[in-house]
Amino acid sequence: MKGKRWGWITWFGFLLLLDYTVPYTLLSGVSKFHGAFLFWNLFAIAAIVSIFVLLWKWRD
Amino acid sequence: MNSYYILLVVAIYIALATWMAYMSRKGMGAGITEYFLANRRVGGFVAALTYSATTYSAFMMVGLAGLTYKHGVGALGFELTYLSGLVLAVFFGPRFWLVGKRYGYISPAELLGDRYQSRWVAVVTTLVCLIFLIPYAAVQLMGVGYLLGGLSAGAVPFWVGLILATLLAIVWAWIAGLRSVAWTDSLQALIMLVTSVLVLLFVIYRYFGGFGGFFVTLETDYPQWLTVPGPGLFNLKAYIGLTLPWFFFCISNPQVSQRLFIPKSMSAMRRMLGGFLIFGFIYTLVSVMWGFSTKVLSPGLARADLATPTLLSQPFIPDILALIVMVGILGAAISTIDSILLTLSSMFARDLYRGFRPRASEETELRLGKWVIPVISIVAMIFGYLRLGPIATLSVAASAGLLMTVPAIFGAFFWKRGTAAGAICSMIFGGVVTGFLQFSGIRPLGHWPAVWGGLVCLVAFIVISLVTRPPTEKAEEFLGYLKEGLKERNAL
Repeated sequence: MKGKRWGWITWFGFLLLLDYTVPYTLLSGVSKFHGAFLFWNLFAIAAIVSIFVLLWKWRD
Repeated sequence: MNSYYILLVVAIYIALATWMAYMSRKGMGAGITEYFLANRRVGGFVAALTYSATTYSAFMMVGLAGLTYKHGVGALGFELTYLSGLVLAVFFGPRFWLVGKRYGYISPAELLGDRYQSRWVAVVTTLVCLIFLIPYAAVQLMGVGYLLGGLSAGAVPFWVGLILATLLAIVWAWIAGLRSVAWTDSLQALIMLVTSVLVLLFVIYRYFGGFGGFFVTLETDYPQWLTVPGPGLFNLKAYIGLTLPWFFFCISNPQVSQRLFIPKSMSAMRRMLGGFLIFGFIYTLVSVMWGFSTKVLSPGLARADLATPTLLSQPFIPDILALIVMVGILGAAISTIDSILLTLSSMFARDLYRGFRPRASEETELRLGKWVIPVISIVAMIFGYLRLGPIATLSVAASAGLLMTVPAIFGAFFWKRGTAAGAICSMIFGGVVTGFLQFSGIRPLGHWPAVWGGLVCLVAFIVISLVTRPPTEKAEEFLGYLKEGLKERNAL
């Protein structure tokens, strides 16, 4: 369980790193829909899907 | 818009929500757990809606839309970072829920006080929450004032909206505690979501001819608004300063973390969090696109907080739709305020009053909690009347203050070595630093108050805990119970 926990923490840490870096570096000059706007949507979808995976493992 | 129509629609909404609040009393039992936590028996659907309505407030439709209007797409990243912070609820949700049931906790402050074996931890947590949540509640009241004033072109004065929102929050929190709050929240959450999506679709298809036209217009007329740092605010340091407290919102804001005590089962909690994530994603996108739309439609507004009332006042938006959305925003504000009131009153009764009078009866505690509701409301109303700053800024300032409870919360669940002295000092030192930087406007090395306050708070918690004696027996028992409970439920 501890290993799994750290695996997920690493994954979310990676997502957050992208959240803070990609729009300010790779996409800072892209003033289009497919720039920061699309990126942050994809970032959120990745986070939400990951959270759903974790939630669906729970048992009563 | 005709102010009589506004008042008529508001009256219908009040009647409907008040009826629901009364209906929620059916089958209500006695006692403080029933009043403040609906006896920990809330189903997943209602829990998801009350969680959503409590979290999302006037900040979204008024503040976030305004932030987007003025500062561009950074507002989207900022709010979606908050949503991704729900991963914390995956870790903390089952923990709060399990220990809440086992030890009978009513408030997050009580949890901390018991875990660290010090009533002073609970007292300081409560004081921090009172200090920083009252301005946040005031922000919601201001949102209602701006909205009604903006839509009626000043015919409904700011203070009328302020008083109306205050009274409704008191009544709906008072009638049946969390039951009435959860039921009215559910109604309000549905209105918020449906109407906001409707308006967006209306604006996009009626004015821009579809989403393609919307983005092409933005890319052509306001390209800077689609990048960061964009037109102003969102440089990287500001983005970090704003998102840091937002990321931890779901555990730092007690009106939200208290919701982790209420689901009737793990399945209900799963539905609560899952439902909220879907709600939150849609609502965030809609709010941000409202802000962008208003930028195109009406670019020269004096105050960003007027973006939403301006959008709703556009001639091509039917009055009836604007009125229903207004109810949705009113609902968003009030559903947050009444939850804050209920949480603060539970903390006042349990952690301040009972902390010092352990022999006080539950009846007295509950009576006191109920009477605290109007007192806190009036204080918040006075703050709101003073209009100390823009909605978005004040909301973030409040969350920056509440961020100072986070190391103690982490320590309670993940660090046996954490101590009461560490928890207390971290909240006080961090709170003082954050408050000072916030009000003085000083930004050392360009970083925002939450960053410095958070750093001081974290260091204080670790260092002071290491040099003081931890409540080892309690920590072993508390964490040992959690370890078994989490394993049984397959939670991380």
